Amino acid sequence: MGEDTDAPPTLNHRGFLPDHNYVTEADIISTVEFNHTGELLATGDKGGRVVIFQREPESKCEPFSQGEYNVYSTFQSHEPEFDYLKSLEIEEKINKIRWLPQQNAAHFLLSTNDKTIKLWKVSERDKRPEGYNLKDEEGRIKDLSTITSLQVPVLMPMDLMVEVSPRRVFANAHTYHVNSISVNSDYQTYMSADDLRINLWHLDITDRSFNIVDIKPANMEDLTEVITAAEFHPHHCNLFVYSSSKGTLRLCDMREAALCDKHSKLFEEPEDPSARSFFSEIISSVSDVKFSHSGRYLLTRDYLTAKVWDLNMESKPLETYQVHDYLRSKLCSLYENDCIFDKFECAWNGSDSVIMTGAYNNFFRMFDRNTKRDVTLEASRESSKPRAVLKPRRVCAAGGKRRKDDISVDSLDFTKKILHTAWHPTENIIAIAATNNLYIFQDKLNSELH
Amino acid sequence: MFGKGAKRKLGEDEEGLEGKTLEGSLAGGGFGFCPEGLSKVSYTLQRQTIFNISLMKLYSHRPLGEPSLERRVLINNMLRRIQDELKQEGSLRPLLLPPSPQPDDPMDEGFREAPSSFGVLSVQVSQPSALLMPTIVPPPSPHPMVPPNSQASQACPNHGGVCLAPLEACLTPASLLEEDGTDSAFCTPTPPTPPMSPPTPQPPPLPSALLSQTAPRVPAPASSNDCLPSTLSDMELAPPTAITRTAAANANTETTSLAPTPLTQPSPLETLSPAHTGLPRDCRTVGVKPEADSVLLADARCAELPPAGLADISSSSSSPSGFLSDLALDDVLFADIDTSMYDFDPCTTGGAVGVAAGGITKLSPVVTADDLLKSLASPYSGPAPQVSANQPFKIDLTELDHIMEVLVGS
Repeated sequence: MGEDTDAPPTLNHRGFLPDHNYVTEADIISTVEFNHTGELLATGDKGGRVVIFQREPESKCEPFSQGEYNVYSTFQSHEPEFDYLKSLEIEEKINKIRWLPQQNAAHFLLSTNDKTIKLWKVSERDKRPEGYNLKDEEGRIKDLSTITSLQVPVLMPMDLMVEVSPRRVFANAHTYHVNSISVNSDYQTYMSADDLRINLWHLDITDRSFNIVDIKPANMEDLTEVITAAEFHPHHCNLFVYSSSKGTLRLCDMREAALCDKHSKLFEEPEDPSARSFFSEIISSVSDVKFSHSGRYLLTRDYLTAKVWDLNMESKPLETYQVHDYLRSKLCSLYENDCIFDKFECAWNGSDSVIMTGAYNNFFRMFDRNTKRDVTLEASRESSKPRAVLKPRRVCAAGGKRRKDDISVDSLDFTKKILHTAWHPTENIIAIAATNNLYIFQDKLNSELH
Repeated sequence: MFGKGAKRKLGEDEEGLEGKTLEGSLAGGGFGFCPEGLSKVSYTLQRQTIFNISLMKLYSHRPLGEPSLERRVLINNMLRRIQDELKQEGSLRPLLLPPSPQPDDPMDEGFREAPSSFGVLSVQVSQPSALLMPTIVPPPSPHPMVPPNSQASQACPNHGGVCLAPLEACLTPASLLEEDGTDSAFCTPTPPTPPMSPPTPQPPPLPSALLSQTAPRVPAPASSNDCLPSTLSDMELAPPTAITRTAAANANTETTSLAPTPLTQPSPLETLSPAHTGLPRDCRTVGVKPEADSVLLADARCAELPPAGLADISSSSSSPSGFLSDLALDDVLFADIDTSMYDFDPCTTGGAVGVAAGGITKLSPVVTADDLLKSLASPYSGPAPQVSANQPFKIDLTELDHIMEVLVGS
């Protein structure tokens, strides 16, 4: 897809020390999520904070400032905790944020760390009542003898204030680390998945949850597979899918049984014997699974590829896209430095025609499913100035023919990884989290999706 | 690279450069895919490398936070698979290897213990040097380190851990148990320094699991499968150096058992290892039976030794020179076997892998067992080919000397 390369992207970034290479670990962005209208963009970081950006309404006077995202609210969602029983620290890092569909003036989002899920209410206040009878302007109680007449308080405009308050805390339901949350299409329930179990919650009830998937073996020493991601179907409130570390996807129907250990459909691609290696299992572990907006397809990401599955075909994926196949010969080194365990996310565009995922060296890739074209772009301050057009990048094999501006495989920076990406639900706007920086790119020429 | 006059097979020509082969095999080989010739060598090497890396990953000290379960499960699966492969290969080896010159019967008994110790070294070694070791696979026993004839007497619960043999001499010099650096000389080499925290006293299942790994040719499926994944349910971290130590223990048990004098000095050696209660216990179980069987061997050996070696042995066992002369015995034992295949330089392979990795990380060169033997024996058997890769081991040995002196108080 070539549209993004023609568009002037908007570069918004936040970082406490923007001119230095020093990165505070607490500032590392750990999740990015647009809300259902795309007006709000939430990011969570390793320090347990959530920052919400809001898109400025388009103004006619300055065409280029339309639709920029600015900070709307910042709050501390989770604090570090200590599990005294196991003598282990519970990280405050926000693993996932999911917005609830908006039902009134307030916005609601779920944020989770390894153990606890919280429901936050984000509301605006732009008016305040003035003219109280018993209190004066500063809030002090008036002397009753001075009150001579009765007045009705009037709502006066004030500076916009965004209030964030925790509405529910869903705690103590997970023994293992929560890796996914997903809001159901019924807007009343949601699920949270950890390494071995998936729980179903009601948004209003915090002291109880239903366990719907449990893959913990009777003997922990027999454990060979864990749950890596889970998501509800966008339209069918009884269907959900979860992925495993062995590269399988399981579609479950909650109507079949209370405990959905038995899957309705199992999506698994048979292993290619010619590509077998020591690391076959590790690179097949699915790091992210996303339903398409239509609900017909599934997008999965494993270490080297992104695959599109048709819900009606369990035997193999519909399409397989090589994200960074040049790493295939480097798997041993990547295993040694732990990069092979990096969990990349993936995203659909609004019309399900383009998929996007991140890679190393601050590269991210987009694949157009229709034209079969793909592009590699870089999210970095050095390579793109604000409002500049992004230049496509290319990774060439070591020692191969090298064009100008190409990067050799050996000079890739594996500490700069783009794990979290998000795509606006309707427009061609993408949010890329590169370590502690957030990049937002827009495609101005083709704002409407085709 | 593979000896003078040795024909290279067609498969090797197709593979191209050594380094390229290693990298290519890394991608293309693994878990059932067994190429011939040169690729087989590099396959074994890379498998061992990955095995070591996996072990280190599982046991590296993590501060405060809980390590990811998925990561642990994946590494665990990797280790299990390699272990299964090694077991399969171990059961096949006696059939594949050409008959090696058989020593006398008393020596045979001593060799029965050899596979358990040299099995460690031969696994990491290229195929040619594996040919060198007589591969007698002892019949299955519940405890991987216990020889079959003592099976009945040792009713150890597999999962319960190491059998506590009667408190007899720990035949392994305690200094070897305590010194990280020297241990690496006798076992699979580890990649650049992992953070080694001081080992905490650990439940026995872990050491026995490690023991079972270091003797892949000894079929002990039940115990290994049970003990190794106990890391998952075991929230505590195991001693990071456990694997190197038990490997060293195994390697050294055989050699020290050859010398009669160490047997008479149990107490000083035991008191030298106060902090590591788990490991000396393992040593004891390893050491008990070999001692019984190989006393004969020691007697037989001593007769063959050159006077210098004998004099060293008869001196106090705590002197490091006595220990080294035991290793000289092995050189004597294998002297009649053609070692021309051993000129294969491990540094190239290791270096090639490291270079190919670019800026990522370098893997340390793999050292073969025969190189170790050659280097260790050299001070005593006169001029011997020096392999440059063994310089670090020489330094480790001098450290060993020093520490032995300090501990013994001489």
